[in-house]
Amino acid sequence: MKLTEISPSLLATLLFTVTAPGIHAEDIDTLVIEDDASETLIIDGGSEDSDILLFDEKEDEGLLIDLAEETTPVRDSGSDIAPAPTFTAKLDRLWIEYGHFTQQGASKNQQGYAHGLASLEWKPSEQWEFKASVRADGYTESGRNDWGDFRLDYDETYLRYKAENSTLTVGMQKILWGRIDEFPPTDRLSTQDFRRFILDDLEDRRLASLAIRVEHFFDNKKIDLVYYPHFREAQLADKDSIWYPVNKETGEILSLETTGPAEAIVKAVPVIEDAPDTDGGFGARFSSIGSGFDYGVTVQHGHQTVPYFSYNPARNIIEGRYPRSWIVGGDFGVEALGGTLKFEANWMSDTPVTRMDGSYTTVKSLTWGAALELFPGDSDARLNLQLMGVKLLRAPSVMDRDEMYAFNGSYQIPFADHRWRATTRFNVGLDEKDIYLNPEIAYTGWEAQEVYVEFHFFDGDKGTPGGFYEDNSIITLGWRAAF
Amino acid sequence: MRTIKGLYPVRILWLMLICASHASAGQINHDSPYKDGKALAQAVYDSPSGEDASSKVMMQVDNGNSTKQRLLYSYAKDIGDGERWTLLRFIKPNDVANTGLLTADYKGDDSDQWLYLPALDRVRRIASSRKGGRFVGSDFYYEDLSSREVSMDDHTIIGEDKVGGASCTLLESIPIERKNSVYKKRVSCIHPKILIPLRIDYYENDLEHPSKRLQARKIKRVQGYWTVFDSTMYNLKRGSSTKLVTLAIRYDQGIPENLFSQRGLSDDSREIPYRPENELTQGKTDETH
Repeated sequence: MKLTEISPSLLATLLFTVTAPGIHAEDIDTLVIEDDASETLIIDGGSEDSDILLFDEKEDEGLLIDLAEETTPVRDSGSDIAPAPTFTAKLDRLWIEYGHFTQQGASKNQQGYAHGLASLEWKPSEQWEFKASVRADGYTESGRNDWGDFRLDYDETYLRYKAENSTLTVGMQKILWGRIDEFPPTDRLSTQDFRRFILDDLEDRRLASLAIRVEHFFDNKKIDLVYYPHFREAQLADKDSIWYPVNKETGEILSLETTGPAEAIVKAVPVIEDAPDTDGGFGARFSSIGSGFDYGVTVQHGHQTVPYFSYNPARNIIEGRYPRSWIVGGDFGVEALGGTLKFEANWMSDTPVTRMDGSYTTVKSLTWGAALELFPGDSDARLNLQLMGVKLLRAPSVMDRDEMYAFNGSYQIPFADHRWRATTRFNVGLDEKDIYLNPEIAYTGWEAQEVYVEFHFFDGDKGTPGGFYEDNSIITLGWRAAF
Repeated sequence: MRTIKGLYPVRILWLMLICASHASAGQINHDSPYKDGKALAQAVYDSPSGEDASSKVMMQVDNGNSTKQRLLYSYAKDIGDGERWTLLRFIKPNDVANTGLLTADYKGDDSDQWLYLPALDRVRRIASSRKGGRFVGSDFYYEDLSSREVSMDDHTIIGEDKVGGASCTLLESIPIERKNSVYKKRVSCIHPKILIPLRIDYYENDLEHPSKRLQARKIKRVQGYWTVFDSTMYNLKRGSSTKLVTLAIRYDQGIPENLFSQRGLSDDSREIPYRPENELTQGKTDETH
């Protein structure tokens, strides 16, 4: 800033502060007067309650030292200030995207997506908070068979009471547990949004579901108790969508290495994904942050929210199942290896599998993930590397992968004075060919907005997500804004 | 009274953002009694500036062809024994609104840092060892936001200079351990009476030419504590600059320690009573721009 730009306001301030009261006599004994003729120095002499102005007109810079002390009395405690009631209603977010499928084998040529989120928030006092949110999602796909859908849905809508050390929240809410990015193993009860598979970031792949939640805080620890009185299953893409996890044309099911007879059945029978009309389960998580080490442990008992498709011979259908399972897990984060090292794992009592004869059962399993977050070169770039593994315990011969190991993560770097951002997300199978690559370039030069171009590339063996969606590689152009 | 200590020159940057405060006028010393650079650095470090502070800060990043603004609140509290906690809460722009950054600085070079991401409603540890990298795209590095103790550098008084007409003492500070700073050298021009660096030059790779310069513009005393209300960090190589304007500030409110906790980080309502402009609702005066 040039002096000429600030002079009027500064001068006005100074002229005012020269006579401003409030300086204690003991504060200033003597003021230095510079003799340099090149300086303009204004000192209110004669009184100890003086202001001093040091101001150099010759330099391209100005400095104001204002001795007019603020006279605001000190408040004894902040507790006597109650926040004023607030009411806000606003459009939170808009997002539009166009995508073009790049594979010749794709059954669709292009897709579109539009999303809007609006909310109303009322805080009548420091203790009470009410929030209501609504989201709108529009989908289109065109190609071999055109398809479109528009859905108006609730988002986070709840009543919250905050006590001194606890918070009670009742209503539709998103509760995302776990520590590592993308696929946190201990996040098992939240409702997932699979309508765009994994095209979106983790926060955009969760939906609000009815829950009663109590959070209790003490020291730097937290006990989190959640009960889901009504089960809300994951939202899948429409059966006509290219992202639906059952392919009626090939007879394949996402993440299953289906056999020929199984595929013949899938092609021939209807697919039903009716979720049970029951409660969603409950969970508890204890977490602590502290000097050099954070950790959390959790116990959960609830329905898996993502359906597992298997053949039901009694009804002669492919049925989406949501087995109820016990989950015991833990996680920790520590500063190490020049970054942040994170580990997270769970044990599940009932993991759904399909025997080679097509019948359904559940087995125990272990899922784990280890992550290292780095800032390479101590610069603006962020690198997150993760190793993940799943192992079915004492499983019979099944169509599922009884072991699965993957290397995934993301790399993000701003450039051109932070007006642009390059990001790459990736997932590579270590035991089978299973590839997902997601490079993105975004312009972030406008406040709270971004325009992006990204590519989602899928490839892999049969029975892997990359293989299942290998015809769905897509290049997208989108715009997002937060309000 | 415990005070927010550590007003060592590098931390002036931190303080401009966190609480922007310095020596009380009551401790003005007129005879420049500092026998050497370390004594001056220690005097700056030891300057009392309140048990706690909260401020509302506007950060304006000017990259030459575009300007971005960030509005945030900062809260700082001295816990004692060299331990200090700070909490930053971003208000604008909207895509980062309610994001929180909690930092615990311990004696020496140890610290912990956690980020609260409202979109995930998740508190996550981030590497506090990070020193380089531009803080939210500004011309401040992460190191500029953390504390730095006097003993971590060699300090030498190298002369006198003037900033905006004010005489000040040039203090050169060179890290004893090269790896614990982005900078090879810092030269601060410290006003000998109010013990505030009026200007700091930062040398990254070239010991002859600074790569960054922090320039104070307006300094005012609030509740007896000298406070930088307006300052600009210039990136002399890139030509960009980041202006920090303190819109409101309050000291010694008795901010509770539990504000600097997992809950305080994830629940912004806990801090609302301590936001500095809340005084305005009671008809009290405050500094606004």
